[in-house]
Amino acid sequence: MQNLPKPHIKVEAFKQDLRRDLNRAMSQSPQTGYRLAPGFAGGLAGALAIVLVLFIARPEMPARLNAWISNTQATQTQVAETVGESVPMNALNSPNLHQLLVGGQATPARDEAFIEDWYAKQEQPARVKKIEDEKIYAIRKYQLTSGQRVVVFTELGDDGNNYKHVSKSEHVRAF
Amino acid sequence: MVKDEKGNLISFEQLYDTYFQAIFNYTLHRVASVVVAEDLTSQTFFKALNNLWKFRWSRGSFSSWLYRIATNEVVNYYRNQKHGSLNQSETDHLAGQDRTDSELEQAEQELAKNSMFMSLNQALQKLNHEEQTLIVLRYFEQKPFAEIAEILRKRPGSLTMKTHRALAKLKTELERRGINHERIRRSFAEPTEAPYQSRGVQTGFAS
Repeated sequence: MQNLPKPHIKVEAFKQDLRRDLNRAMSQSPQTGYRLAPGFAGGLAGALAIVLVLFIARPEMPARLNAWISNTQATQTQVAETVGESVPMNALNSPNLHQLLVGGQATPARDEAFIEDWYAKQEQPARVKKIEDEKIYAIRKYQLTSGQRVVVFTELGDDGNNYKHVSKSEHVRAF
Repeated sequence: MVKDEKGNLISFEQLYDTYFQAIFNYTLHRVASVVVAEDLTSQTFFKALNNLWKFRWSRGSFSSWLYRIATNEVVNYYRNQKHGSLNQSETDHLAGQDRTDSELEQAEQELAKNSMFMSLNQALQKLNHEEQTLIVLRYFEQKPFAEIAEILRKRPGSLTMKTHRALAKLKTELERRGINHERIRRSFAEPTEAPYQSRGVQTGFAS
């Protein structure tokens, strides 16, 4: 079988055509890659910067995003003990509540809105009937020579001057 | 650019010039059609160009790597043909779309003059892909078993046995078609008009 003459055909025109096509592909492919690489890197960096700016401008965004992605209720954390119920962590992250907590003056009307907004996040929304009690506290932080920190809660009188320390044994805490 | 065994840089164009004819002959011997062989050669070199970064001399020669790509292309071609996703007219269009010269016609005419080769190729098609590859590489391309093993990523010992079995199957198939050793001998003793170069030989057909 090895003695059998096999076709040995020369296709010079095809060889030159293919060489041209390969040269064209060689000259195009690396340039395309190099042109795309900075654009891709720039786009990625821009997207990351936008996300970072969004997270800084709207701190509640990560938690909302997380809740949206996982589609489950965020871990509930007890932020304050009121009537033995806990408030969802993301309740405090809502834009309205955030505005109420950090902006403007603390007034009974704002408190009411705050409480309603707070309870609206829970399964059984409740409305405030009337303000039960109102007290003004001063909270001062001290550091002892031992390195411990102490927070003193002081209940202020109606005129703002007649103050009294609230029971030291209960309200003085060391961290 | 690719580094050779000694670390010298070689351009892809140099490699193309070195191996074009060998790869074209190999695909031609596998498919017995100039148009298809051109198409497969083209695909082989484009794949080699796109995957050049993967090639390492330490894993074998560039020639073996090219033959491996060409072998895969041939197998894919037969698979596609079997599943009807590629017909002859499409292949003709692919290969000849940019050429209006008569080179293709002349080449096909030259191929047709090798009647015994064509008969042998038809019988070869009855073997499985691995057997076809072994016979073409060993007896048409005259590759040593060590190189065939490198191309197919197999052990040389197992290939020797497989090649002998493939030869026996081919012999049976040829005899079924009325082609025996004597007729083959007579065919190449007769002068041929085709301007091909006949090659050196090691041994005759398994007798």
